[in-house]
Amino acid sequence: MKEGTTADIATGPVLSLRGVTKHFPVRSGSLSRRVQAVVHAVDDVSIDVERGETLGLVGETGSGKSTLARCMMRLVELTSGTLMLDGEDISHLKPRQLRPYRRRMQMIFQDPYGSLNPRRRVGSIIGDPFAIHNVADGPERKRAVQEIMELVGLNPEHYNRFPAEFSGGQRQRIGVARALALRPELVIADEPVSALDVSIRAQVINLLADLQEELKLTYVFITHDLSVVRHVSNRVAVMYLGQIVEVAGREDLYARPRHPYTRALQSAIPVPDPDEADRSARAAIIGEPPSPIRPPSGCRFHPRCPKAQSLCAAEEPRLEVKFNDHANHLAACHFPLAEGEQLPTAQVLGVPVPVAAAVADQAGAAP
Amino acid sequence: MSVYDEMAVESLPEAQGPGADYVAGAIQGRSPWHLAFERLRHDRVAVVSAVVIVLIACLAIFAPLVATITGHGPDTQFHMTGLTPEGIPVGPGKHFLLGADELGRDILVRICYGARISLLVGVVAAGLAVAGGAVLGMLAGYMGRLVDTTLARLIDVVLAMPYLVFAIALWTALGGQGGIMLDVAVIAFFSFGAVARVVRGQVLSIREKEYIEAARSLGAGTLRIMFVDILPNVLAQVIVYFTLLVPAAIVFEATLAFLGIGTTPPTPDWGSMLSEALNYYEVAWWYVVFPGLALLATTLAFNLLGDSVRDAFDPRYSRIFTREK
Amino acid sequence: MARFLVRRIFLGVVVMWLVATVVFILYFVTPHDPARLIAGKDATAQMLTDVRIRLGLNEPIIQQYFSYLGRLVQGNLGYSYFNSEPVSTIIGQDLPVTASLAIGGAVLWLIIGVLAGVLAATRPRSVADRTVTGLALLFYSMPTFLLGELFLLLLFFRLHLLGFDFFPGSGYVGITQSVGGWAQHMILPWFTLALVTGAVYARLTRGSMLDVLGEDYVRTARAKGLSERRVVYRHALRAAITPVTTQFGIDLGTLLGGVIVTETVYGLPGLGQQIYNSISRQDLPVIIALVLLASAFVVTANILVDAVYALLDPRVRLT
Repeated sequence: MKEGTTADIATGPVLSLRGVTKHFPVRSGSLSRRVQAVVHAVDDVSIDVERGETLGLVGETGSGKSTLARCMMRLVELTSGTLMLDGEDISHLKPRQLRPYRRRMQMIFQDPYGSLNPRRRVGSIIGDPFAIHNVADGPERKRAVQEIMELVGLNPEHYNRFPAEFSGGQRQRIGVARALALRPELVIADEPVSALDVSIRAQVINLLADLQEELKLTYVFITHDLSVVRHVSNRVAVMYLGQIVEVAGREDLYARPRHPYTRALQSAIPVPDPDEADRSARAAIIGEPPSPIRPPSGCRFHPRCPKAQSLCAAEEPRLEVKFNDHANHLAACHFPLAEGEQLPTAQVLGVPVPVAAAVADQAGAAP
Repeated sequence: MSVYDEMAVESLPEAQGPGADYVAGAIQGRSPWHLAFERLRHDRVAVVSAVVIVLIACLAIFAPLVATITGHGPDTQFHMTGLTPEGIPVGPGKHFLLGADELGRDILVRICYGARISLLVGVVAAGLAVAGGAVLGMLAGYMGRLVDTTLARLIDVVLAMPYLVFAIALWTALGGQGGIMLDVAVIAFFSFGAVARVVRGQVLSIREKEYIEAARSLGAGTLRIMFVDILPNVLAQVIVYFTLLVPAAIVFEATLAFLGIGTTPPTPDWGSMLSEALNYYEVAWWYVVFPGLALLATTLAFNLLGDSVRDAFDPRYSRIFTREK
Repeated sequence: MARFLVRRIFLGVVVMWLVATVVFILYFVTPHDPARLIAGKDATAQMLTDVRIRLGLNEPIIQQYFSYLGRLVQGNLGYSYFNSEPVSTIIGQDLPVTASLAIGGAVLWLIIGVLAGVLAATRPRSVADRTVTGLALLFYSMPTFLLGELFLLLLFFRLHLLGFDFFPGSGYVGITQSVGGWAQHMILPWFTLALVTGAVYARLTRGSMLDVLGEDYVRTARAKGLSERRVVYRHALRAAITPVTTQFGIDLGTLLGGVIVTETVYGLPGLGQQIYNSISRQDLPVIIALVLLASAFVVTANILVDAVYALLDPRVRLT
């Protein structure tokens, strides 16, 4: 993926989040409205999405990345915080007011089987944006739909077919076509390739790359798969339990991870080469992610962090530049990793290997 | 170096795996409706039922023709040829193909005219109930919370009411006026609740699907989502319900007429004919058998067709074999 | 569990109140003159005035409404305009007949329906299965009154002609008088009521049994070596019984309709026939009372069914 050009950066970030928080109440019973508990899906997230870049968003299941995506798309109400699209505040607009903004930001969904209405023809599905925003009608609409179908690599003659008649990869292309129909500025891709066979993933990823160049798109690419995100992103943000714990340019993140969680995720990626695998022993994280209903105090990662100390339980670390890093490399940690510092491995800590393996599974590494 | 860098895109064809050609070429735009219709077409029971229904409809439509052919109007009493000297109705024979009733009227002709009422009330009432129920069910299911709770409670109350008793109450309260319009209204009112409940359930599960979320992310409004995205997915169920509701409505109308509610004499109606027949079955078996057969044939045909339609839409329902999950 | 019941009962009371209000609106607020309806078609002007005073029809509507509710709560259901008997007495006389019919019929249809359904499900595609399915469809399509008439024609009249005197054509013998007579008179009505509804249960049971029999845990039970009978009756049936319970709750409403029709066909002097006669006589107090009674029955029965449901499935108690 290309770096954003300097000309584009000059016009300001496409999307700006400040203190975005989303809590889901847990209610008891159907009649009573008593709120028993709150799920802290996303907590105080602040980040900019720069024009023309691909921002990768990584995290385990339950990290809040999908919820964050839906906050960005304003598919849900924000509990608090601000969201700005091209400098305009869309944090609290009603659905009707949001409609014109929806032309500028679109979403690609994860499930190629669930994200397309099985009872509608593909041409109708892709034509939806044109219909909803009254852009084109009749034969003009059909022409526009077929144009975008060709653009994503689908045969325009399949206009009248139903989603069931396409393969998984093709369906995902349909989803991409639908998202790009009105030429948005920003595309949020929520795990667009996770449900596809590995051999198809490359196609779709490369398609997305080509389209980005051709249509001058900005992407937010959400995934749990570290190897994918490395391939596609300019910048990567790592999420844990509803917060961003580290964000950096791609190479910086992989070369100099500051947050222990990032390091652990990286080391959990299996390496195809058996010789190299022995050398990069797996870092140990203890246990499983805690429930977002009662997040740990202070630094949310502290119960699982091999480097945790009493300060970590007491005080929440701020997301800021550590050491002499580049200005856009931020980490939230009281004791960030120094250059070349390794985390204790499973053997050293005496933690059984299956635990480390569980982390690898969650990191969703490619086989 | 990641795995993805190493894969060359150009070498991979559009569709993967064996059968790719099958996917790409063979199936040309076959909609779920098309497939269901094909299944229905090949179902012998369905075809026979459909034919029977068409026949009965023809009898209804061409009732005046039957009257002309036999020379007997539906309300005309033939005391000379229809009744024996003792005043007992005449059986099936050369004058009256299916016999005569207690006033010397031609039962065949009356059955044909009676078919009009039964089919009309059945189809219209079922149609109204289904249309109303579907819309309400969609509203309740999609809009959730307050709308849903009030509608659900309303439906509960309506469903809890003993409908025959209430039909009776309504009829008497209106002083015995209303005719078949009342029938249609009452039947529709007491049937829409069941449809609404079923549709609501379906909508609740569809609402969580990703393509609905996709529609919202595109900026689609509530109405558009309901009618463009949700409706096609509940339509199949609604149609099945309709085909099963029609015979229920027909039976309901006949039952009301049997009790003296709805149609007024001398209008020919299967239910009221059978009500009179109760007094004469010992001397005029044809008075019970022929209208009864007509009624039974109609309801049976619709029920069989409804079953077949349901099977056509969802072959899993044949349930002959162990169901695979 | 107690909270669940309280909620249900409260809801039931609300529904009853709504029903009573609707009935009131129907009869006293509609443009039709209730006095004329009550007094009958040949009432003189004097009689009409009398009726009006007695019913308090000259008072403002709201006042009438509250005195109406008051009377109901006290159990005062008024007097029949046909024979001036208190309506409560009439109901007391007719109730045993209806109860015999309803309870007998319900028990019968449950047994027939469930057993037939199980029979069909355990022998899929066999002659037994096809027969059950076919018969179920036939009876299910048949209106109750038609079945009653056919029974009378064939089982009563024709058999009678052949000298086979078993089935009586009409009438009721109280169980206190003669159990045999009671049963003999009730057989045809019971079966009329039961076959039509039972058909629905047969289909339902067959369907859900087929589903359950295909489940993994049934396969496990068989693999463990349990006898087929145990598998079917103890395990599969228990799971399949839930939709039957639901249907039963729904059918309590339809039961009343079936009762009215059956009593009319067989000339059983129960509440059903009472309402039928009252319609033709336009005996308003009786009609109103029976409508309210019917609703009360349905509401109570639904509460009971819900309670049973909650006993069987603890998750329901949360609703």
